Amino acid sequence: MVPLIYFLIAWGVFILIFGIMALLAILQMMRFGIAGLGTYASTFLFMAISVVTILSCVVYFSTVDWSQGVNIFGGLMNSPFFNPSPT
Amino acid sequence: MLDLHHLPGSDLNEQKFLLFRRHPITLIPFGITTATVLVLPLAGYIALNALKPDFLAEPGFLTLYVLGASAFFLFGALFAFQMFIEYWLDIFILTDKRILDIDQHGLFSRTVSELRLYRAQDVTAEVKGMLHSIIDYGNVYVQTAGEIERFQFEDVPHPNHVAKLILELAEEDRKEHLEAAVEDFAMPDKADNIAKEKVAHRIEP
Repeated sequence: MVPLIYFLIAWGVFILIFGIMALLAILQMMRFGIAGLGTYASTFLFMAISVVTILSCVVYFSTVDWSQGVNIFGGLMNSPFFNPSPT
Repeated sequence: MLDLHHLPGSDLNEQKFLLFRRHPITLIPFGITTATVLVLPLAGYIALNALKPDFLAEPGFLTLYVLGASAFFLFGALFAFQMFIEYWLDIFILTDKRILDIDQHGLFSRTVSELRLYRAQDVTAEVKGMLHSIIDYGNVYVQTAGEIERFQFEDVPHPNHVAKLILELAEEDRKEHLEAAVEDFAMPDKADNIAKEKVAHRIEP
């Protein structure tokens, strides 16, 4: 049984890397993009999608009991990839 | 941020500013890839629910799925944005004095080339292929005097129109440049020579 919190930490690291890369991309766009609607709209859209996704995850994660463990290998063996249900 | 009317090195009394990008149709493969990548997490959830509803009911598995799918989705969105930046920042700007070709390769690699219009000698428009012909987009090449390398603008909408425009602007700029050059350099000498010739003709009966 692997505690779920480990996965949350891994996710946090991913989001940190994502945040740095997204910041660099936005800075490049703001620095070299031609001033106009397309530049602002695309940057805003990307930021909005990212923020909404992260916030939705955070809202969902606030309902999760992170102290519980998860039986990955047992669960995966039960997954459709290893144990397809007969049709 | 770049302002079209305040371009780097714009001390040439430029009046016209035209911005060209690759035709939006070149974004279709990127759009399909992006849509697939972004829809995949949701499609995976629906497929899992349909194929094995009790899989996600296992304790913690839905949370694991949300963790993985959200990270995948976010990096998919970032990849899409970076691809869009590569398209959006890859531009060429035509003014009545020069051409600026800005090539964006990836996120951090940029090449900015500049060509004074009066130096443009040969402009070629190339439309190759059925789709290019139907939608009317293709390449424009600008050849300058004494240089083997030529400016190349790929997948520009209406390449024939763009080539014609470049030729017209180059012709105007060449005329202005020639007039300015004659006024600055050639005319005083020319005037002196003409005066000397006149004097010589008067002396010789």
